[in-house]
Amino acid sequence: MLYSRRRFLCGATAVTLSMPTLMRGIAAEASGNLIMVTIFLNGGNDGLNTVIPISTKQYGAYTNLRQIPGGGFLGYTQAQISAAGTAFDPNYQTPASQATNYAFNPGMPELRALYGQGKVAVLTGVGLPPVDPNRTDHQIAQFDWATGSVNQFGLTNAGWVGQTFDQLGGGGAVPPMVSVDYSSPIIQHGAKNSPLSLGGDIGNFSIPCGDGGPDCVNRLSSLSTNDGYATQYMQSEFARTLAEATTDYVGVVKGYSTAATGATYPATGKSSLRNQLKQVARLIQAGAPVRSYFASQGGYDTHSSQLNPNSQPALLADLSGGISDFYGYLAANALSSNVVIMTYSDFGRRVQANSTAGTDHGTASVHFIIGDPVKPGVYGAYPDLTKLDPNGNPLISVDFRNYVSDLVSALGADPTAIVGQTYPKLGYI
Amino acid sequence: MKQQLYFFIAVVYLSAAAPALANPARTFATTYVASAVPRGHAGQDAGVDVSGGRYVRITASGTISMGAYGVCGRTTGPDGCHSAFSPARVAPTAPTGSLVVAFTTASGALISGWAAIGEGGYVAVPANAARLVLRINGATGHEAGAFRVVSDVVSDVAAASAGSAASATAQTGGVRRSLSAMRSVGAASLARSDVQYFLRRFGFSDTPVNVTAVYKTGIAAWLSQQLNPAGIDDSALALYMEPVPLYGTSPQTMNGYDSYANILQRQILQREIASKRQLLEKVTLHWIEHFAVSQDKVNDAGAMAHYEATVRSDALGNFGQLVSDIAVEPAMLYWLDNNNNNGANANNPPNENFGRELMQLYVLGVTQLNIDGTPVMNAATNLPNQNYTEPDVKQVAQALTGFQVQAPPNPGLVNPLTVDSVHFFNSRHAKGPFTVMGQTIVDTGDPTIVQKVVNSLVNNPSTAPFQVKELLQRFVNENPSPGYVSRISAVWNANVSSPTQIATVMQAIANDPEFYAGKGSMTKEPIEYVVDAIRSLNGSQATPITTSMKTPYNSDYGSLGNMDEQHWYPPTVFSFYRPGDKETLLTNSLLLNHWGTGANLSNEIRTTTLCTTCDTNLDFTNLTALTGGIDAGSASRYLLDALVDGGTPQLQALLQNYLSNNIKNVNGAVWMILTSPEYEVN
Repeated sequence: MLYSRRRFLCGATAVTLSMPTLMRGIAAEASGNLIMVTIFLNGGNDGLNTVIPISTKQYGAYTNLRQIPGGGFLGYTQAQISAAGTAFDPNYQTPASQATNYAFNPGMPELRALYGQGKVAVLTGVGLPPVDPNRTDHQIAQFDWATGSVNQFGLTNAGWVGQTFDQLGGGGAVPPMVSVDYSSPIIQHGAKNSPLSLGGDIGNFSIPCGDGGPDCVNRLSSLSTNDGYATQYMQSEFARTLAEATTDYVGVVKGYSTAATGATYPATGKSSLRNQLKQVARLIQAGAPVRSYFASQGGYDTHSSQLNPNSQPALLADLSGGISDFYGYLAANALSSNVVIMTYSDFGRRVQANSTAGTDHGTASVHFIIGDPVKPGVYGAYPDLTKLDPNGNPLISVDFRNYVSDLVSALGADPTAIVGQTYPKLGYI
Repeated sequence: MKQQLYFFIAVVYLSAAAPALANPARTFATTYVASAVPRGHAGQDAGVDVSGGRYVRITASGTISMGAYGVCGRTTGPDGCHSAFSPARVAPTAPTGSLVVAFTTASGALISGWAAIGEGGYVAVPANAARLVLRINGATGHEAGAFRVVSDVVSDVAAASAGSAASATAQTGGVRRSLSAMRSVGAASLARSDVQYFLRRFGFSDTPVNVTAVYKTGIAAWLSQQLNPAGIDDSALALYMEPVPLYGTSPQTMNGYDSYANILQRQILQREIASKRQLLEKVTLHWIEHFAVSQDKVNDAGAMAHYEATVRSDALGNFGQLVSDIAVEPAMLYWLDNNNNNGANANNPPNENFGRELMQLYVLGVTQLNIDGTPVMNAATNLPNQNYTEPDVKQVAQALTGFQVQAPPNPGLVNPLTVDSVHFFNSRHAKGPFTVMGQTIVDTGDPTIVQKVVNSLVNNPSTAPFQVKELLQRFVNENPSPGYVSRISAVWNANVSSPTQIATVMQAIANDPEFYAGKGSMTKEPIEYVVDAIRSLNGSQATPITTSMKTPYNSDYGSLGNMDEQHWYPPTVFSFYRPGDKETLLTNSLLLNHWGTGANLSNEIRTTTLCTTCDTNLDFTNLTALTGGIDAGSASRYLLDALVDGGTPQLQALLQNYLSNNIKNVNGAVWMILTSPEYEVN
């Protein structure tokens, strides 16, 4: 689960003095129409086995560093890559059979197909800059990525998407940000805005009434506006959230989930990510005025047995197929023109395999930006595997804040105030 | 068409730096405005008493109707502001349909301009201000509204004498309390509600009858017993515990009932509900969440049970011992990949997972801390100093290599807790000495390297405040003061070598003058939500385990899953939530599942006979004796006392009214309490 928080209950007594209390955007709806779907790869995805460098120069270093004790290989052979047909070049139109630079993981043929259609930007060498000494701790790295900041752990708690909508203004009846993995992630918390948190199948919603009374929701609402809580700050804030939950679910979620059932959406099976993306598709299809969706996928912290079929290979296959199904559904319903998917993760992983057939926390990784608004190709510089830092990690070529900046701009806000400085456009969108 | 605009928001007007008063007193008050307050109707403005205050902050929620001519704050939308998905929310900064505020003197004269409500912190109260008045800033005069304004006035203690505090309370209906007054609640003068608070913090609450018993004998006696759990006879619990299936039966089941993994989860819930060693169970819960391990990855119920037993045996003991013991538990070796970790291979470095988390999450944290828990700031960069670097992580990982879990190939039918054994292989152990955060750790090529590494980390100056702050966040207040952290850290450090270090620390926490100031500061986590309710409502299994009741508390266990907090299934090494951040378990989607849990619990109430085949009974068969008579007043008083220390007057009225309509509907009444903010936050 992403390190995340609600902030409405940050404290009692003196600590509340500095607490921002406004939780929900209330200005007019934000301008612009780009919808951003964020997929968080929880745990730190190994970029090296996600986009494999197959050029002659890099592949040799890759095979050397990915040897594991007992003769194993924590990587992919050229035969495997060629059988999967996932090789690609910066020119997205180059066929896999002729590509000589990179390959998607062999379990990601769907993403390779979307790349060939010009729908995918591959951002290489992206990560947290070395000025953050704890950038390889999950807690710190997740926090930095979510807030678009460096060295601010414990000093801020506003996410970069949340701050984007602080600038743009919130929604009307519907908050501009929705999380579909039950969480209330810090990335979507601004000073004035917070996400609506959903989970499971949004169509199965009901409020359980303990006494079967027909007016139980009203009674709960009356409880939550009970002014007796005013004497207890925390309880009054809790009451407000109860009211918000009732309002959001009864008034918002139910309407949209009825409007779009997603009946023709490809089967999601037991995949949590696919189910999350299906809920996003339903909300988009129903016309929910939501501009940011947050979905997540866990299990990327592959310290051991990384090539186990249930480990990273399964996750990447799920990611590739899930994105492809999602994009395909939107495209088929003429809804894809303003939707962009972006991935992020804690960090990349160490280049050299460890003694338990896994990889430890690293730095630079690779991320994908997918959708009709995307300018296809490869961005950033893939790390030179012969030039690692003293800890055996690849060097970053793109500061993650630069990555974030382009998306903030595309959403219509000014990124400089959010990430602290101005970056040149990478140009992927 | 009449349109409704809602404020469902916390609104803070203007902004100012946070007040820095030496001994602030705070007044919380509510003004409930139920009638129209249109612009320009002098004398009808809703007001908040700010006399004597230095700073004020208000929040407002409610409804503003714009009348037939109104415009709404939404500028776009599929069908204007009359959305199918109302209620719409209006910008407080919008000139129309928003609240505006101004300070006035006691006679009603304006002493500031009307200001739009914005965002920010507290604002200073002008010296001669008596009231802060609010209006709806309408454009047409047809605007009307009903809204609730909560004010939070901060004043100097000196300015708020006992007399004026009493009169302020009488005037506003609010409560004026000063921190110093709260701290004066000493052990000698505890109220019954103090005992309820204490038992909720240091245990999982108790029935009204047992609360009264502790109230009479005193908290000190209860605590002294609980700090020595071995002295408490807990043999009755054993009659009700599910037996552990023998390893070698396939699958690992008890008489075909259920898998050991499920039994393991129910057993810890059973202990929390039924053990007389309540403090031990509460502290054990703290450590198993702090040293979070998930069965999802470990996939060995015997190893998990052994881990739990080890944590429990060290829970009130010495912290260094606890860390050293869990470091070589099979479950931990599996969980953080230190099993089979090889430090002797020049080509492939050891796995760093455990080494990193041992420092980051388990012992001392990322940031260097002062003894009061505040970060040590680097004067040059104005950023917190970091405790460790990448090379330190690698050194700790190297030092802890060489351990392996082994199980005999065919052990036969044996207790699964005894199947796994842990061995140290010097041939796979990296050779020391190791240097961690500037300290040299001698390596003698044997398992004592674990104690050596742990001792080095435990003696780090950040360890005491890091651990103490987490303990205070669980047992007292999610935001403990630096002074409190500092005082308890001193006790921690003075006892760092004591075999009863943690027990001594727990005693110091309870005896600290700030302990009772934690009232109202904490949300229950889901495990507490369930266990507190069952214990407070006289819950039990109907019969010992050997008869027809096979899966005690199983439905309650399902409820914990719905609320995202099942023992032994934390989603990551960060556990269910980060200390001080319990609200991650209270997203609005998860919150709705609390209502389902409340419904499930309330359905377990038995008012006539106990159910011998049900997994839980909340025994109300003797309700008349318990409540002193079945009437709405006594029944609601009993329930409110049991669950929410009596509750607010509003909840009391709601419940009494509800029970007056149908006295038999105790289930519904309990559900209403379990879904109230009083139960969730206390």
